[in-house]
Amino acid sequence: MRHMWTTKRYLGFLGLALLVAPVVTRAQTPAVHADVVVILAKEEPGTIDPSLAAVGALQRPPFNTFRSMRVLSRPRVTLRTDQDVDIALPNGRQLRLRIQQVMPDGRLRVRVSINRPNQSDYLPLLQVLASPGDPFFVAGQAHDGGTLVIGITLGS
Amino acid sequence: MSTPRIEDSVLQQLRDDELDADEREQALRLLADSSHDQGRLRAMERLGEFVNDVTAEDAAQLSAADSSRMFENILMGLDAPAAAHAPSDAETSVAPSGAGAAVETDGRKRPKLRLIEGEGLGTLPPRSEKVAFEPKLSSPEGLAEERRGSQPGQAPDADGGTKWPGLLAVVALAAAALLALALRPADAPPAPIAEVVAPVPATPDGPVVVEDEPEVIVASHRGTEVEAIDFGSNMGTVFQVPGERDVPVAVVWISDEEYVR
Repeated sequence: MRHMWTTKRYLGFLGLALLVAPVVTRAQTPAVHADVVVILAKEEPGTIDPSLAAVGALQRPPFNTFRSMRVLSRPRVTLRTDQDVDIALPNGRQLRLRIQQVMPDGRLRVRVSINRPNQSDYLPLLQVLASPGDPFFVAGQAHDGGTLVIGITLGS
Repeated sequence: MSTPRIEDSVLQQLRDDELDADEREQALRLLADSSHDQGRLRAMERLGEFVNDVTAEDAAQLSAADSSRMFENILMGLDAPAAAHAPSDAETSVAPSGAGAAVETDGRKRPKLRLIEGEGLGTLPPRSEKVAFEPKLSSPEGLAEERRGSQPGQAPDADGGTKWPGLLAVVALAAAALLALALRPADAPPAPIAEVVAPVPATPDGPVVVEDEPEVIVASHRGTEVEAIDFGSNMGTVFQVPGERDVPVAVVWISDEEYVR
């Protein structure tokens, strides 16, 4: 009888260990910060936000056709593996970010979508492999007489 | 030339007079017809006489006292390894009081049975020297003790019932550790990929330069790239522009239907 109780106890311990291991593993997943900048760019002459002067890609075509750039928001979010994070855009759509995988070389595989809530009306899927600190851009949405340019930088 | 027709064993038995009447008669008949077999028999007889002469000569040189001492030495040689391996309690517990098993009435020691290690060891339990050869069954105490130990209601040895759950716990911990390691994300910094560049060969007239270590150029995965995209019902394109330090920066440009309408 004592042996049976001992056996049950150890079997329970085994099951608990197997259940807890993935949770512990997930808790060990490093959080990845994402810096998002939402820019309203227009072709009309204007000013370029000084904070954007250091962004080299925005000085190159086709972005250099915009003669004014204004930063609408700079949300900073924390991403975890397989967890969606939504960021509201000024045009009513949502930018959804999800870290899919941390590559062995340190790069981050991220999934992006831009849609209205509960819809898939604009950009259903974008999968990017990004080095930490290097941005990527999604542009083209119309807003307030201009074009939205969204820059996303992971793991800075 | 006649060929041998009598087997060696039959010929030897004929010489030793160990054949029955029929076999002897048949052998003698064959022997009479074969000069070769007759020669073999004569050679066998000469060999036997020679061996007998040698053994008789050796026996004559050995006195009765020497024979007895030699036999005692053999017995002592047999007892010595047994005494070296067997503990003293084996002597006291195994040999009961008054037992004539170890010492016979004529004072001559009987050689103790010993386990000779060999291929048969695999079939014996551990400490087989005691278990297999000690006259434990002849001891009533030992027999009773053995019977008590083999009763079904008696508990096994102290750790026999709890050892395997302990092993199960170790296996559980190992499985959990392996699972955690297998699912652990790579939090190490990006591993640089080394590219080995072969040194430029020296000109025939120039000095020969021996480089101990080749130059290593460390490349890094920088920038961003689009792996997959679904524009849905919209028009779009993907391209890259040079970013800081000229790293490639991915750009997705997608039309806005609402804007077009």
